[in-house]
Amino acid sequence: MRLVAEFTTEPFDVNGSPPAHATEALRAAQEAGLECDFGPLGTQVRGEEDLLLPALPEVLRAAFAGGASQVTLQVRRDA
Amino acid sequence: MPEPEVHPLVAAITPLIERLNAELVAPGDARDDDLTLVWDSEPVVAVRLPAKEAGRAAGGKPPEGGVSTLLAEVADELGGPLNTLSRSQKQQAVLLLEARGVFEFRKSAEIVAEALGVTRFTVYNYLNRAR
Repeated sequence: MRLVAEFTTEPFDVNGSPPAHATEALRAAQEAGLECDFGPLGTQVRGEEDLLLPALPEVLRAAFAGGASQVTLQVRRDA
Repeated sequence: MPEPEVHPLVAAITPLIERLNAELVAPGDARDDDLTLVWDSEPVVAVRLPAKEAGRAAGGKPPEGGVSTLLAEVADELGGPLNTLSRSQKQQAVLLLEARGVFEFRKSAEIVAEALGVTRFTVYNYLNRAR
């Protein structure tokens, strides 16, 4: 089963380059082999359940290590 | 004014018009988005609300009307259709839209998401942020 996860990392800062919590979370998802779309309000990642679910703790860890104060995560089936 | 003498209705609403930064126009010159005031079945004067408020204040319009107006405004200011903007310009667009009250409208998250080329979940995630 394919899943899509979307996450928004905070604080939301629009000045300058993307904050480390966003780029680090993206990097963790890429390293896990997920298809990633780094959007303006959040990052969307897709992949097989077996690939995606185990990657999520790493993504969250990377976001907090990068300075995130809060992460909102949504996971759903890839329609 | 449409009449040489000031109509009592006009006299009564003038301070309100000034406070709202609105404008009085003759009923014959009223545009679709002006509000014509009627007294004893006669149109007396029309009120033109300030440009940026017009979309929101027009009560009869479908909610999408106000959202489209705001989307068009912000696209104009940022220099192009929202889905063609850079990542940081899109963020700027959402901040501007939010500041102007776009998310007060029903279904606005879906409409804004589509305009920006992101999913509505992303917009919800953003709106859910701590502040």
